[in-house]
Amino acid sequence: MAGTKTMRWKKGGCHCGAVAFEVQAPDEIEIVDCNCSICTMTGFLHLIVPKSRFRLLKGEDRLTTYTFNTGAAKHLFCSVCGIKSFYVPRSHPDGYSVNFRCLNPDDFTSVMTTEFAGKEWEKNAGDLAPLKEA
Amino acid sequence: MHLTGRCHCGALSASLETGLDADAIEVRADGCSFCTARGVKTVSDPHGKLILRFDGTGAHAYRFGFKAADFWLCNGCGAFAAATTEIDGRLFGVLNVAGMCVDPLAGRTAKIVDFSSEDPASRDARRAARWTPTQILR
Repeated sequence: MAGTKTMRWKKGGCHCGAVAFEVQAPDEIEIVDCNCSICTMTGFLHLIVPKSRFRLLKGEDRLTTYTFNTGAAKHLFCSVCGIKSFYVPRSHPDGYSVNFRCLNPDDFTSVMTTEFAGKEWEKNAGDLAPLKEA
Repeated sequence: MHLTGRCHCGALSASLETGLDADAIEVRADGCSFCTARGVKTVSDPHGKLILRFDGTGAHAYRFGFKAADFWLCNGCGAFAAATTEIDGRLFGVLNVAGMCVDPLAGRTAKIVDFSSEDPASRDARRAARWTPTQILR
């Protein structure tokens, strides 16, 4: 029933509370578990949304940006607690990837996890779906 | 055995000297809010030695809850390397094998443990008995 799910704003943030955001998402979501080096090291679980469905509520001045390789992805982490609660992914520079671990799981009725072989990013990037506004 | 790892940007490194085989090392996840938010997997060996080295951009300590331990974070890439605590003048630590990409332990499924009901004295006793004697170089 894609496209008919009701979108709700759900709050999330880092561990220390310096960074807080809202993301608009249905109660039933699909997230991506990527096996690339940085996703594995940070335990990042991706909920990727268009920029229009993301609002940073506070903490912009606390975010540190880390880049590597092509520099296309902007890895943002809290300078206080180190938590990467969202970032701009290389796969979807027109959106944000929110870390599902930094959301309240009780805000969701169903979470389906898809594995993505990001270790071979160039080979598999086409497996990631383009963003939809709703 | 000598297990080594680095953070993503390479500024922080860790080495764990242990007499245990890799298969005998317990990989744990304690379910606390901090560890859950980043998929932390920790290991320790009270008879081993953990050396943390902070180069380049360096590291800073984050404390939360009872503020009884330092959670060492890379200033460059945000990685969580290890937690340390000082008990009776000695430093003890647990290594985050996921955040420091310590093979072959990083890919292991972690055993879920729950220390949320511990009092401070029990917590210190457990850490002194189970965490690894640790040295920080910077």
